[in-house]
Amino acid sequence: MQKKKILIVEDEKDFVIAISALLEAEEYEVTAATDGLEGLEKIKAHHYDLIIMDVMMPKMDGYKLSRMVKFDAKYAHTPIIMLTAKAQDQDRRTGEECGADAYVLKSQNPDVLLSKVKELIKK
Amino acid sequence: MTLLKPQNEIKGDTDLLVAVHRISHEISSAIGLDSCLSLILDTTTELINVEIASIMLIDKIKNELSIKYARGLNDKIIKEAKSILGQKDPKEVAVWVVQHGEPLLIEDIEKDGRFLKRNGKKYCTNSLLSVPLKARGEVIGVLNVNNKKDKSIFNKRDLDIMVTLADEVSIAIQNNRLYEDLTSANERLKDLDQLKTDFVANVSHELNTPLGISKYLLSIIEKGTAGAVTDKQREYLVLIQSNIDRLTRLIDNLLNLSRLESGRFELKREPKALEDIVKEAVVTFRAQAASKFINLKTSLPKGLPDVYIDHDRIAQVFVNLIANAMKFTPDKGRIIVSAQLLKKNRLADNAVLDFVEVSVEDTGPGISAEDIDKLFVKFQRIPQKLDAAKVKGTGLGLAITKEIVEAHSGRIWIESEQGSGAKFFFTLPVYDEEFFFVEYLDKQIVKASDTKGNVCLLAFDLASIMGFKQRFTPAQFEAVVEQLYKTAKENIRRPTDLVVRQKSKNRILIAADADKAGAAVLIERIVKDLSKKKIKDKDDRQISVAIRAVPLFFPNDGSIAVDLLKKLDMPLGG
Repeated sequence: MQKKKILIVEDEKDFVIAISALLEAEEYEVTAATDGLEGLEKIKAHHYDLIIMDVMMPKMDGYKLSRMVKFDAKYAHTPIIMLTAKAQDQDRRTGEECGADAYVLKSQNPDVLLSKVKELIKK
Repeated sequence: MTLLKPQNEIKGDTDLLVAVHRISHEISSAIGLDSCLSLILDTTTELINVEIASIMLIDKIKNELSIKYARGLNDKIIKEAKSILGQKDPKEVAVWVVQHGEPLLIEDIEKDGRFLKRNGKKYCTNSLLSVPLKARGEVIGVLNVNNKKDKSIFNKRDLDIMVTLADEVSIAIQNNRLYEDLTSANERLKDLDQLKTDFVANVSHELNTPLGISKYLLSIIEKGTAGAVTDKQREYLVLIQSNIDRLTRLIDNLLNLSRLESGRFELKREPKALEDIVKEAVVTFRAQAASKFINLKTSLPKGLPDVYIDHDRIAQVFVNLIANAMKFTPDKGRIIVSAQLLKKNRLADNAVLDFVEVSVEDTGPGISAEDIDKLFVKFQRIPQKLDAAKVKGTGLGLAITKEIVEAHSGRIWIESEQGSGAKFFFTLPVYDEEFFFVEYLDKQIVKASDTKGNVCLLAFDLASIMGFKQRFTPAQFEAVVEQLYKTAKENIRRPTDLVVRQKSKNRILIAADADKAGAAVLIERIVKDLSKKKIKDKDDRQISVAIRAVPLFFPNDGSIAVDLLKKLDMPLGG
């Protein structure tokens, strides 16, 4: 069976290493982009089964990237997980309004992210 | 009759009374200091009939007295007339009045001889009267008048009028200063609050990122993905993990506290199964419990109804209470999380709701009666008979736990005796769709009145259409209502819009952020969508469902949720 492809858009290099390791251990194929703009270019050029993105990023933040993906019929079906260190209620709401399918905090147990990934890719 | 005053003086007194009354009114209606003092100067000029009237105020920093408002003086003089205070033998009347704190009446400045006489083309003084302005016993300036228009000399009556008016000036100035102080204090507070909010958001980001990275990498190592792990290594990894979790809890509690204090603590409530949250919380402590050989178990009855809670916050409550129990329970002890249904609890506002009572019981040293009261106080830590190094904490967890539980209309308490463990109890309301819809609608109304936003209560009524219900079997009718409920849920657009099924009335209610046009669009969408669904009546004929939609708006149709709902029950046109 072909591996499912996941794009990580995250400017913290250490976090990219950590998430990639976690997902690769679960047999996902992981690609990374280090800012919102690079993320958008990758999304336009390749197919992904799921996108994990940070909120606070250089060049284009996660809210904007999410909106650009979700409001384009070509990519709107791709599930988005916002993985963020922001824990304010308002941020979660903004994330939802921008079309994110799930909102996971960086401080939560990594298994939470893993279960959301499995749940959204299965759909 | 000696009691009678001359006619013109009586008239003068009445004029004064009327003027003072008018001034007081202006002061209390907060028209601004400038217009208030202008009015007082006009009144002074008119009542005493003088050529010149002026208000001079003290500038404490420069230690000088200068004219702030005047009648009968040109701008140049107003700008230039400044007197230095604190002179030994002042040659200026105003300075003398400030330094002595009492009024001064000079019939003829030349004859008097103590003071300088100003001789200018436009500014010339002969007779003058100067009264101190006092605020809380301290002189803040003077009210002056010079030269009566009829060339007469100032008398006792003029002095009385001046003293009365000077009081009004003082009040106006004091009010204004208080107002300015308050305004600037308010602005400073607002700035500080914003600063704090930004700080919290930044700190949250800065602290959680490295913690998250460590957590992820740890879990990868622990799973053995990065190579085999020895038992000893695993033991240490668990310790690192539980300490990172401790740090996470600490940060969450501090952030929660800051949010609680800035009033930005808003619950995002949903119906949730308690079992899921308990499981989540217990999993977090599995490793820690195992390392202390503590038996951490749950005892939840089957079929507990959903509770209406903010998932993240209540998860925090469980984490705080279990962490607390974990802290005090000795090795090989026991912690039990259990729950039971409490039917029909009366709330403070007399509403009746079902609650779930949760308890977290430990086999720690217990708490004395006097210490129980201190438990929920911020930063308060109970002096321990245990090894102090073993029991650490900020003393925030329980205070925040209490705030969270109470924000959910729940209660929290402890049963414990010194030496025989502690049992923490708290209650959470069972989800009651109709009850919480009313609460939610009220919350949206409060928000809308702050932001001038829209609140629309939209009702889809199936039962009120004559003969409609009779066309179905009860099971079919139930299916139609359910279909309508689903269709409404699919069609709302905003995350803040809420749909409920009012079971008692066979109605679907929507609380929507919509104006008249928005409500019309929403109704059209739902009706159109519903007409596409295949619905059959009891003779198995496919029919199109006719529904009655009633949009009601805040504030036109009612200013609280209950009023809006009452209006729904009124007959049409009522």
